[in-house]
Amino acid sequence: MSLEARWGALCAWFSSPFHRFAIVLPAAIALIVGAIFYPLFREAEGHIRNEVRAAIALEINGLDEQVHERGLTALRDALQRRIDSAADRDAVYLLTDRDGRVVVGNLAGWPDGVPAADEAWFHVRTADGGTLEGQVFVLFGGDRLLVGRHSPLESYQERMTARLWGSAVLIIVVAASIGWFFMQHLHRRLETLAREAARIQEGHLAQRLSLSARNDELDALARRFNRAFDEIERLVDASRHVSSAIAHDMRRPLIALRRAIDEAREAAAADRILRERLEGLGAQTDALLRTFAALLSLARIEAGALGPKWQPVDLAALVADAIELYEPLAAAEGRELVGTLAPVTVRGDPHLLFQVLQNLIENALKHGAGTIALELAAGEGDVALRVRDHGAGVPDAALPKLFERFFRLDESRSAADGAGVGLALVRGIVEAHGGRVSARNADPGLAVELVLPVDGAMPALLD
Amino acid sequence: MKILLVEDDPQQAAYICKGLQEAGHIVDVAADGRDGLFLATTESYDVLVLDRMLPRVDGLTVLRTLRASNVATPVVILSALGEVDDRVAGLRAGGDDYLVKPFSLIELVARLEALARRGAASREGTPNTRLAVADLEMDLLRRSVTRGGRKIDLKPKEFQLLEFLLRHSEQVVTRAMLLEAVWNYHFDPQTNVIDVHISNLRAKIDLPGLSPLIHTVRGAGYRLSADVA
Repeated sequence: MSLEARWGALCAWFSSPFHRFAIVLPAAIALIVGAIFYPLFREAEGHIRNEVRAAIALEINGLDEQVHERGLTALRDALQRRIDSAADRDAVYLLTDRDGRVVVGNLAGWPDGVPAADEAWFHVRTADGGTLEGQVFVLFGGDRLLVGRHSPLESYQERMTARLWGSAVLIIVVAASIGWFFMQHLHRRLETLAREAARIQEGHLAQRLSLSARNDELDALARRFNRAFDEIERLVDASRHVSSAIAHDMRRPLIALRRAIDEAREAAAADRILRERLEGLGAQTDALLRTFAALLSLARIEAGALGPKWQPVDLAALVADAIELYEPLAAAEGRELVGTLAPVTVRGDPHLLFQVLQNLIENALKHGAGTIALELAAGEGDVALRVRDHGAGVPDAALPKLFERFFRLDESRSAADGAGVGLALVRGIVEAHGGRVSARNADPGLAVELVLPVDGAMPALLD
Repeated sequence: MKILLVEDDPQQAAYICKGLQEAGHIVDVAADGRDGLFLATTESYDVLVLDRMLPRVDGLTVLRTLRASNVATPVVILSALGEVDDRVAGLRAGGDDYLVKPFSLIELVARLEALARRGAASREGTPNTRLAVADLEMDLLRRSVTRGGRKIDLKPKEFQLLEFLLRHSEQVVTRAMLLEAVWNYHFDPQTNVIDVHISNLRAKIDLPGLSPLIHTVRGAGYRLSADVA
């Protein structure tokens, strides 16, 4: 993976509020804990340092008195006593002569890094890893006295740092897992809602988002969406009803008109020109009636009024029938129909499926060119039917609109040439069978592909 | 032919009635299901034309009642699309043919005549194994066709087409009827797909020099007949 792709994947990962939350929450907790505990830690450190210094100062004062009152020998004895009594394990004493040779003390030699200067404070690490802190005095005659303590500060710092890191890790792990579980729960609910919303989008308009027993904010949101879906369902029903009602209501006057044209044609039997004109008029009216009929059956198919007629359909035989029916017509136009058919069976309505083939083949004959190839292939649990011609195809921009009602590539074409309901009907029928339909430019030619589930998932009705 | 038309729309009834009378038939009209049922059981008709949506007693109920009382008269059901135009339900209730409005009068007349003949043929009993018009003969058992004694090779669908035309010789047969009888699919072809099949068949039957048997009826369909008119 390239760097950019990784960066993209990372950005995508972060764009999920769940992932952001899972990272940011423990980080924030860790930061807050750090902000509270670091000053405390520093304060405790200061205290320990002061304690050590105070203890050293006390020691020095005691020894100072000895020297002043009773001289160097007394100092040596006092040191020896203190070392022997071992009352304070942390205390360190060392008396050397001017050349650094040990006179008395509980150190093996003058520690490295400690200056031999009077009243100098030092702070060095010893070979065993501990810390030594204290003061040096240069006495009369050049003898050197070192008084100090093993400081607990460093080990305290180390322990504290370890604990702080440990608790930081613990906080992050705990917060992250709580966050993760919470997010998982939220995610599951959101996924359920998304699935239900997707079903609505697929046309199951009666589907609603499910509510939980908790009655929380998500439920409130789902309820609000459900009200919106109620409204959408109502509007869609109304518009469906209106368009099929128009098609239905317009048919009566059109049928009457068709009848009147017929009667006029019979009356005008003697006048050839008039009769031919009336015949043309009749054909136009028939085309309109056909369009309305197609619209009405599309409305009925979309409303899912077909379910009970489902039966096993030998799709290969059906396609072969369609090829046989249209072959002479294609041949008469110097075209060819070729089928590559795998033996497949689906559940559905044979007449509707034949109508799909009729529309696709007639479409390819009317608008395409060259050989029309029909291919039927079995997939995993579904069946693909491809119909392609070898003509000019359609502009890419028009592909997504091809299956819409009333969409026509060439607006100037007359309504008698089909009002662009054929492919919409194809889609309606295929979707009612639980399938989907798509079109692409096969260069050359337009390729339409239908995918139908073998078990013919019951159509979008009876929800 | 004596025909009973059960149709509640007076305009539609008048139009159909006039058309059938012009085609030389006798027509009785009933305006609702009850009257229709009464006439159909008391009078004798060759064919019934039954609208599916009727006031009082609906079309399918009329049909079921008729069949239950052993009235075997052939019935054509008329249905407006957008209503419940379930062809299967209509045929299952005892209908013999099914027409979706709007239909042309020619279509209706052609179907009625075909039905009446079928009814007559089934009453005669013996199934025909040989069909003939002029010097065109079809042997249904050997599945062979000859014209003037010369054998003609036909593809299976062409054979079926010719068989249907022969069974309905002297009658007008519409494209939709051919499509239903030979292909068994119900739809409205928007192209001249049937005409091409017929012209292929015609090229084999009506050879040059012989008198043509398959005639095109303008605006309607085809007729197999020895007469040119």
